Amino acid sequence: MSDSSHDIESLANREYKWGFVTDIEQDTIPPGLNEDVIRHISAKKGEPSWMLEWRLKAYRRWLEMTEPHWPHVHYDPIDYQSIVYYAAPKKQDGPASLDEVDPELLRTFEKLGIPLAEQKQLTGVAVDAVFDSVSVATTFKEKLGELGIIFCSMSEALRDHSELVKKYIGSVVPYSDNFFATLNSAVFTDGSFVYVPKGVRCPMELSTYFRINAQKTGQFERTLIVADEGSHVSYLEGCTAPMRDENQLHAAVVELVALENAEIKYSTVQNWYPGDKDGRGGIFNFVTKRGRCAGRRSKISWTQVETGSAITWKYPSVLLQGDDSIGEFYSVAVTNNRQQADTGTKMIHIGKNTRSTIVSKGISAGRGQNTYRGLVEVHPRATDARNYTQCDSLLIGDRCGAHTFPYIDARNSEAVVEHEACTSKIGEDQLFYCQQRGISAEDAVSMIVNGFCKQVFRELPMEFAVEAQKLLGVTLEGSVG
Amino acid sequence: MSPVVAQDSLIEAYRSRRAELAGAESGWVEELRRQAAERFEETGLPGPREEVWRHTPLDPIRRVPFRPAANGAATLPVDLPERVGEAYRVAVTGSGILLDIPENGLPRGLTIGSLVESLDRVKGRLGQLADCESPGITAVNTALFDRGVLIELAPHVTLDRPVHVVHHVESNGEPRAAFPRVVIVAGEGSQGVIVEHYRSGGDSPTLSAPVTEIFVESNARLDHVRLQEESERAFHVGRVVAEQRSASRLRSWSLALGSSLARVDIETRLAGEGAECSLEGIFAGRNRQHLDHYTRIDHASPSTSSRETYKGILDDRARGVFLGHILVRPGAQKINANQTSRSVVLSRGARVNMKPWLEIYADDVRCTHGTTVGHLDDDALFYLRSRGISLAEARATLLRGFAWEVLKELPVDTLRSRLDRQMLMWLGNGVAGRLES
Repeated sequence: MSDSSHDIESLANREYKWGFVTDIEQDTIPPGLNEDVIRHISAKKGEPSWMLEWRLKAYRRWLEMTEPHWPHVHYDPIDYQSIVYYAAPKKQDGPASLDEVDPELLRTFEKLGIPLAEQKQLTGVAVDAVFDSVSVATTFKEKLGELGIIFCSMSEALRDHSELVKKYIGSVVPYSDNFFATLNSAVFTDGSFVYVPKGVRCPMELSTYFRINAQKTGQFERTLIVADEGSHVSYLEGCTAPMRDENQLHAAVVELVALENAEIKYSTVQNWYPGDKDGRGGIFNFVTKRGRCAGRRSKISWTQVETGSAITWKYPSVLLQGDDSIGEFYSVAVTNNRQQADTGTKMIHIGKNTRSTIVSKGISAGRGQNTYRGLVEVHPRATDARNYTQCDSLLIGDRCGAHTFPYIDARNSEAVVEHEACTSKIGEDQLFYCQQRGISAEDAVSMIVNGFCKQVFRELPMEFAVEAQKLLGVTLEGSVG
Repeated sequence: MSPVVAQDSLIEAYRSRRAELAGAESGWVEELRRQAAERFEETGLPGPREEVWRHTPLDPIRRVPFRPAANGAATLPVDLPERVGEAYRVAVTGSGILLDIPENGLPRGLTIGSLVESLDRVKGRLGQLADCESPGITAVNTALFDRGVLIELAPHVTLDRPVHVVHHVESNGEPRAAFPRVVIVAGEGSQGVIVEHYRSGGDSPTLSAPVTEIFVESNARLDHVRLQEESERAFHVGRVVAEQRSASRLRSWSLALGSSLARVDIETRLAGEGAECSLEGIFAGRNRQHLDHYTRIDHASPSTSSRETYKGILDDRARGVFLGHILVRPGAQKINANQTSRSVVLSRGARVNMKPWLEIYADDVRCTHGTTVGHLDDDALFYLRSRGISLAEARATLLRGFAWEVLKELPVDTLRSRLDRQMLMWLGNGVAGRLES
């Protein structure tokens, strides 16, 4: 035991591997938030006037709201006036191809292990890379264009596809939804927009790499994915952030709309800077993610691997409106050192025969606090709705915490809702078994943890699954129990 | 702004009666009551902003100008339920307690006394477990309790028959509230069964807001059954708080069948190594009944274990709520905790909210919880019908089996078979009615 717990500790003590800062000239405005800042952001991006109105409406609403404190996390108050709400790399015109991209930027991506230059040939993954707040490169755009698929940054979408954006933005997460979503609605700087037309199956995984770079800049992305009737799209979101001492707020909004027979698969690997081992610094990841299965037989699937951030607070949800629609949520959340995570999902069954599956795996190590919070709601009309939830927690070390707060609200006599949960630590007998076969304690833990998470990893696209396993290993290094 | 009629009326009652309330002459009781009244005045009845109260709005209670029930005559209510087997029977009334016991009296080592007359015996115990800080009715109960019972089991005593405590509140003409207080002390190594039975009558709304404090000393084994069968005009908001010393065992049953709005909190603190508890319960609601259970198991010591099973059956437009909180404190290693909660929703208008809630701050634990909400198994129904059993009977049979899982371990045979019969009747009538439609 003492041996293995020592190993766990050494794993837990590992430093954040991706901490480096890229020096690029930034076009920023002074910290603080008022209507002028919002006008400035909107003007900078050349947005249509309805967008500015919408932002201002959100801002005025936000002023009346109070920050919620019900999650099971603790942090010092955020000073919203000390945040820089807009930072864009200094470039006059948007780059049309990779060649125009600042080489410094490209090197950053290379350090992250996603060489944009190679991506075209090697991986077949189109990447819309967000460097701080402005998209700098979009690949495979033409290829997607042939199929009528729109995949671009939100700013471009607002310029070129304003009507589409106007129709769907705020239709899943209204501007007045919650404190952080409302703030995002007022100040979001960029994000991705995807539209897949009727009957089209997107031939490749769409992917965005986010990266917070400038000091003290909060990132407020807004992503909107619309899958028209009978279409299919898989979207990957991944992020790593450089080492930083001050807490950075990340309040993104992601909206998914799946029309009849459409399917959206949204995968996330989140590895923001978690702060040092004493809990200094690190990202506050307060994200609103929600999908709407608007049409019949539509499907939305969320998969997330959350290893980073000082505080993660998000509940990717699905509104199951269309009859026979399906919602899925697969999650691995790891907290180490002093990380805190309060994450889970909401499945709102509105249509008939709707089904949802929730598989959540929480791993706590060091002094990490990991909370699963979920809601399964069955409306009176949702006859034959079906939900299965499994949320398991693994504890590594005696100072961490694992909590579950599932809510079930059933209002239909034909519905079936099941919830199972289990919390335990890695068995000493399991470890002993591996070790007496010559596997080091660290490898054994990594193996056991990966087995624990397998149900979720196998839902990830292949490239991500490999990365996720690696990340998990890195995050838990030194914390073998 | 929600109405505060009940609160104002009760605070007024405290102010006008404080000098006459039991214990007014002994400083510590007076102080306890005063602080509780202040607290109640400050917070009032809990509202939906409190996490553990969000599904149970108390507005129907708030709107009623309840006044404490008058001192009644110390007679057993005429229609007192049959004895639960051979039991030591106690009726708690406004003017004291009434004992119905065999001629040769209580056995050695068992004390049953009126709480308000034995306040000096419960100094250091009364109010120790049921704190007024947590939102709920403890504050108002502490300020106003005017009746109650103290049950003490001396060390190493084993009771030969259960103690059956009957709480009856009656109101005719104007809404009345009763605040019974119960203190149970199971001395070291003692064993016993205590049944608390809540009933109500009369033509006006009643509110019972009882608080029970249970001290389970080392190696004691106590079974506590709480049966709530109040009328449809009744509101019931009760709390049971226990503290368990090392190697003790508490088994608790809460059976919520009556009243239009009922909420019961069952809390136990496993404060000594090797302590174990099992909490079981049934809530069966129909019409517009609202039945809420909140349970909290606090694993405060290492090597403690808990088991919990709650079952809900909701028909018509009834609503059931179950919140099961399990807390494992830092340093409390070697913990086993198992929780199961299952509900059956029988009609379209019924609703159920379940929240199993684990909060774990230690790593050497094995905690599981399972929750299901569903309807009767179609295959099982089909099987029974294919054997010539009517749909109504088939449904009743399945539901009886569902409830039996909780009832089967009840420590009092007569009570168990009575409840089993009662469940069958309840379910039988319910399904028969719908079968015709």
